[in-house]
Amino acid sequence: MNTTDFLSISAAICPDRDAIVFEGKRITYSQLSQRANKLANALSKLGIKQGDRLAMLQVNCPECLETYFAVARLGAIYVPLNFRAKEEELSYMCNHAEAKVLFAGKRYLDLVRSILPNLPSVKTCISIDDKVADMQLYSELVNSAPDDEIVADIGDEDVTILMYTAGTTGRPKGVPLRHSGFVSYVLDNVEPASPDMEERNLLTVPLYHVAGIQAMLAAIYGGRTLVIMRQFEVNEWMKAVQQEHATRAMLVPTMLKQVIDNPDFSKYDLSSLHVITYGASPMPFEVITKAMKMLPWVRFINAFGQTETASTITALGPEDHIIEGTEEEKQKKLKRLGSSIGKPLPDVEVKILGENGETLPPGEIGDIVAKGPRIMSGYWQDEEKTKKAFTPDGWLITSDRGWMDEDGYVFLAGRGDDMIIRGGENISPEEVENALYSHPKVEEAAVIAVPDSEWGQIPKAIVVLKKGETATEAEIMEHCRAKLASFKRPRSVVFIDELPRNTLGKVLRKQLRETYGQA
Amino acid sequence: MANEMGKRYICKKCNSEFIVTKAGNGTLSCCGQPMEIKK
Repeated sequence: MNTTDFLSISAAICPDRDAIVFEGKRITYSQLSQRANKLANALSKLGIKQGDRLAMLQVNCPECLETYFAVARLGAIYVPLNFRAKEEELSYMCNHAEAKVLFAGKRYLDLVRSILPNLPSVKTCISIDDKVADMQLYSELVNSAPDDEIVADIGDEDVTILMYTAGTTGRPKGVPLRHSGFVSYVLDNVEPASPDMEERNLLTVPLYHVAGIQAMLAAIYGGRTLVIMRQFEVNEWMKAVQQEHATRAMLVPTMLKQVIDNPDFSKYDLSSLHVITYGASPMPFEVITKAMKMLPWVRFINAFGQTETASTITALGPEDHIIEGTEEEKQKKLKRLGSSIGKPLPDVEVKILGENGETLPPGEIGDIVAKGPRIMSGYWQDEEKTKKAFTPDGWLITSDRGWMDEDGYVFLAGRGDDMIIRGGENISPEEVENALYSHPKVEEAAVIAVPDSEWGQIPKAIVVLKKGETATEAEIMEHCRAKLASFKRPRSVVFIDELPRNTLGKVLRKQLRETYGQA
Repeated sequence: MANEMGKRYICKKCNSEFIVTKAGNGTLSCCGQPMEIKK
């Protein structure tokens, strides 16, 4: 089975159901399948063959899905590009992928024109929205071709997507994602399309991110209607839930915080929502507990994964969000809510390794490593980085640090390179940030290492105060003194207006280190 | 016994599963016995 079967199955089972709702436009499963076939035929006529790479530079829209399935049906490889990336990074990704075709949305046409002379592999540019003289027009291509289904000889282990990692810690790395990786996850976790059951999934996570692709493929296999938003805006999101009766959504912590803190929250009917998945960055304890109180009918799932693992590898399920039982059980659950990413899914093994590669016992912090059929086999044409990404016996080093409790729950303790090492003691930035978040005047916080002549490194807090609040450095430090072991508390505090984040809400620590990393 | 569109059928002997994407009048069978709708 491969991911193109997801669409074929749902188009057969529920052909007239909306597959996509986007800015008032509705596309049924049957239409989506037909349009993907048309585009596949048009691309084939342009000379696209199995294994070729086709890049997409556009915000979430129906054409992203049509193009993915068209490319996949040809046995070619879809390369979704980060639409926030700058010229140099985009050129690097296109050249590294040796993309033959580049699809571009209206707002990226000038950008594409500026880098095109440096993209020798790109033979065709396709404009998605507007007819322009120097590019093929997407709709003309689709309309010019027949809708005969192309049946390529696609192997389960063939690569379907070449996805570049977010690059919060360096140049993007190309991760080849196989059909089998998604099929294994989806078949294990999603009920197939049914004529009797209708679900509507609100998609705001970008489709150049593995979480967006995972949500999209799960929705297509499940015969769910995907309500696509170009990008997240809190009032638009609540309006879309109400209007489309969305049953599922994925949010990153900053988005969920905006929803529950919004003054108009009670004006919208969000009662159709029954599952909210969150992830991509650590969820502050205050945010998830407040969300559980304000949306008591919603089942929350904390999903953890990365591009290299093809999708979710651990999950803190809905049952872990119900704080019931004895006092001891309640405390355990509250602790898990604060920083656990849950337990490994059945087809994945996760363990914690020490400095010398030894498996650590429960409670000890080390490198989180993972193994399983969905894990990538290596970076795209990069033996050196591939070698560094795995242990000698084949475990993927996730670059996240953490520990496991006696029950197999995994807890995060920061990215390997974010860890603050003060006089040989590891300090997890997340732990210090949690202490800062518990201060009533703190809206957001991040903690970085700064050099110190005595200790090597010491923690520095970057704090965003709630609107209208004022606080002193001493006040924040005093709060941390009461909450944290002495060596962990920040030794200096900087107040700023907003934390720099990537499109998924992940704090750009590298940028913070560059700006505030001096002692 | 006809099969039903969109239903999942399971073989109680070998655990194979089938999804019906086009219904017909035949009976799905596996391992020499009729398959059952997965509940």
